[in-house]
Amino acid sequence: MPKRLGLLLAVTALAALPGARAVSGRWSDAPVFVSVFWLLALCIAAAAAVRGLEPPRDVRVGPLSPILAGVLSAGLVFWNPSVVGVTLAVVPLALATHLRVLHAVRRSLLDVPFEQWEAAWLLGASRSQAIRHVALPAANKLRGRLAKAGAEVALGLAPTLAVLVLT
Amino acid sequence: MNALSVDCSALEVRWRGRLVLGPLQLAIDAGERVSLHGSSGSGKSGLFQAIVRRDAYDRDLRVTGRLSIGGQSAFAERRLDRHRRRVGMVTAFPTMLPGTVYDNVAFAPRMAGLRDRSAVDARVEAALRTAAVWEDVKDRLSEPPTRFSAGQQQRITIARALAQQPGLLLLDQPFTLLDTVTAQTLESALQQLPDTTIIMATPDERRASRFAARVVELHGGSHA
Repeated sequence: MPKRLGLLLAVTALAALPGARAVSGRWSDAPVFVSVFWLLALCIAAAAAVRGLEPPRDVRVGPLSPILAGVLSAGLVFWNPSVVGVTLAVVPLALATHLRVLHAVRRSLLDVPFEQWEAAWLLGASRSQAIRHVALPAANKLRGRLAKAGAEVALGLAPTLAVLVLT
Repeated sequence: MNALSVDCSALEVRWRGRLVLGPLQLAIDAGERVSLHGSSGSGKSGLFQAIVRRDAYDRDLRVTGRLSIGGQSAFAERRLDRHRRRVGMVTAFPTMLPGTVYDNVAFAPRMAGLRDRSAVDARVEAALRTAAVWEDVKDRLSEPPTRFSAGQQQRITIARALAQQPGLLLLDQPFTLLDTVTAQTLESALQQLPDTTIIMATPDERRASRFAARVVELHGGSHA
């Protein structure tokens, strides 16, 4: 799935949502193109999530996932601007955040040479001790990756907040 | 930690389906020094890998047969970190952990739960002295070990294993990077180590017989 197409659809859907809400007042009355864009964005988010998972060694979640999750969340809030809608909107955002952070951590863990893992295990470190004392200090890119993931998640959160404010 | 005995029977080690050791029948008493002698590929490292249960994280390695360490089956222990805390291992080439020289040598005591700073300090110094590297590093304990020469790094690795105070110490060609004088100094120091069973693998026949009264010959994976 081309990322640019996904981004284009997501941005268009985002741009259309507040306007449609302002004009129509209800999801069922929203223009058809808004529904189509929103559903397309949802499909892309689902496809990205499914294709991005490669157990057990790596979890690959593209940087678009939080943005697409944000589209889904915004749609949910738009559809039902109440406690129920907001609660439902938390789910995709939380999932995307979790996967994105997990992705950043796992990539950093995979950066650690196997010999260092082995040296730690041979010295009696448990798996969690090896992660804490060997992998994390060695993973000097982790901080940058987590910052990037945080920025993407914040970007994903923005449309939901925008819809909440506008509705 | 008390010295640990080693007892294996019908022990076989396979690497990617190929037999690299065994069937091996070998009994080593607690506190004994044993040299494993054999050419490259004779299965010396295979025995060590079986003892440290490398097969638990290396899918290419398969170990079968009976192997007991200190009277307990090595395959029965579910918490492998506990098993490995009793067994120290030094390989031919050093692999340094992140952090400083001090962090490296203090690693095993800390992992075992030793929190008292003075106790850790004492253990680090004693280990570095035994490994004949204290004079080289005592003023540079807060530096990364990678700033030292390969030989010094190897001695830091040996100190790291000694700080673990293992009941069984496995030395897999540990003096490869060391000069003759330093190697002999270390050999003598290790021979005097109390409460530890030591198995040293080496392809050097003279070193094997000098280090231990008992030399086990391995030929093509079998015990001669």
